Amino acid sequence: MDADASAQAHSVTPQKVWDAPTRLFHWLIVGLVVFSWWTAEEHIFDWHKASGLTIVGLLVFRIYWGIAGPETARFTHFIKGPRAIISYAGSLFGPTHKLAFGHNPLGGLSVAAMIVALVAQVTLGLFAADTDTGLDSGPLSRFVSYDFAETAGDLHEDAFNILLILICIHIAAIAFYLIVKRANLIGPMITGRRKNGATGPANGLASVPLWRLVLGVLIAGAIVWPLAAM
Amino acid sequence: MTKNLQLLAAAVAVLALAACGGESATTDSGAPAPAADAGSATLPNGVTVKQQIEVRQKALKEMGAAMKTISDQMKSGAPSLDQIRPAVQTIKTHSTELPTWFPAGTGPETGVKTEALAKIWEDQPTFQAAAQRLAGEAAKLSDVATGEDIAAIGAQVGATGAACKNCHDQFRMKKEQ
Repeated sequence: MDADASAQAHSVTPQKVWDAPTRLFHWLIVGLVVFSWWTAEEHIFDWHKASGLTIVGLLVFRIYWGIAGPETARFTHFIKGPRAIISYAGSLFGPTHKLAFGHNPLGGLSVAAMIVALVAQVTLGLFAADTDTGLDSGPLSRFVSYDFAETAGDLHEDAFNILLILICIHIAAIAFYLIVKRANLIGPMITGRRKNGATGPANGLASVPLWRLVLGVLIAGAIVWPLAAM
Repeated sequence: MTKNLQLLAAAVAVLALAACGGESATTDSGAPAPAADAGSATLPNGVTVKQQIEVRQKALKEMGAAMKTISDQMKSGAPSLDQIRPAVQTIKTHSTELPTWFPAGTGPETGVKTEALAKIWEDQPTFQAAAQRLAGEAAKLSDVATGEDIAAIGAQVGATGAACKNCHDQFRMKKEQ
């Protein structure tokens, strides 16, 4: 959607909420989690491994971006203490409730949990060994014992259920905002912009220098490349 | 435009939620409760059911570990035949013993924790053929591993792994079940 056209149509300037790298991260993770699940079910190991390693790179980038990225991508912006989370949850149905600029404290918790679950998932996968053929294994599997690799493989399979639960909560929350609060959170995650933003800077999300993006991509590549070569 | 986008988003969210619900509904497992004296009965070969199951689990684990040793060497860039050869012997020896590890009365009906499916005893010809296939591939692996041709060993390791998988796919419990 073109920002100018949208602004003319509604005579309100849409507020930028999400930067492109964060949105790209989000939708690539959506696609790759589905693809990883499918290739695991179908035992298409080479593609499962490639998908997992790509997720490793995306997570490395996202963690870096949580420190070096623009405001709404930063951990300090959306990871809040229990008081802020409870306070937000309490105000959800109150008259003063406004949609947050970026993640709200409750949503931030959900996002942090999904990132932790994904990190655990790919870490287990790196060490896992498939005990059906004895051959398909994560790139770090050969540095650990058979028992360790077998356990990592079992946990890699089990932990996916935790990820599924977190994804379901995430989707349920989005459905809640859409249906109950009449707020579409999906559109801004696609376009990066929202209409009638009542919180956050009027000018929208401030950009960060391009070199920071380049550095993040280089760091992610530097970690994934050796793993892919193993 | 906005309306359509909202409708689409709502539809996607509802579908995704439905998928979530469907997923959780199917994860309930109906495993039978084990009998109190599970596995204490003695088999014709003199060991208890529980012991027999433990023997085969230990041996299959040794085969898995041996496969991992070989596979790790193959992926290491400088495979060591001194590491590979003993592991190949473990697989070959165990592959010939394997048909004796599953006597009648050592299946899931005993209540002892096992990933062996009842189909092993219901379809003995297929099971024995799968075991024969493994023994054949393992013997070939042993032959090729006496040589120095790493590529040939690698190819035969793949064939052996496929024989493992062939049997697991048909006769080993999957996690979802």
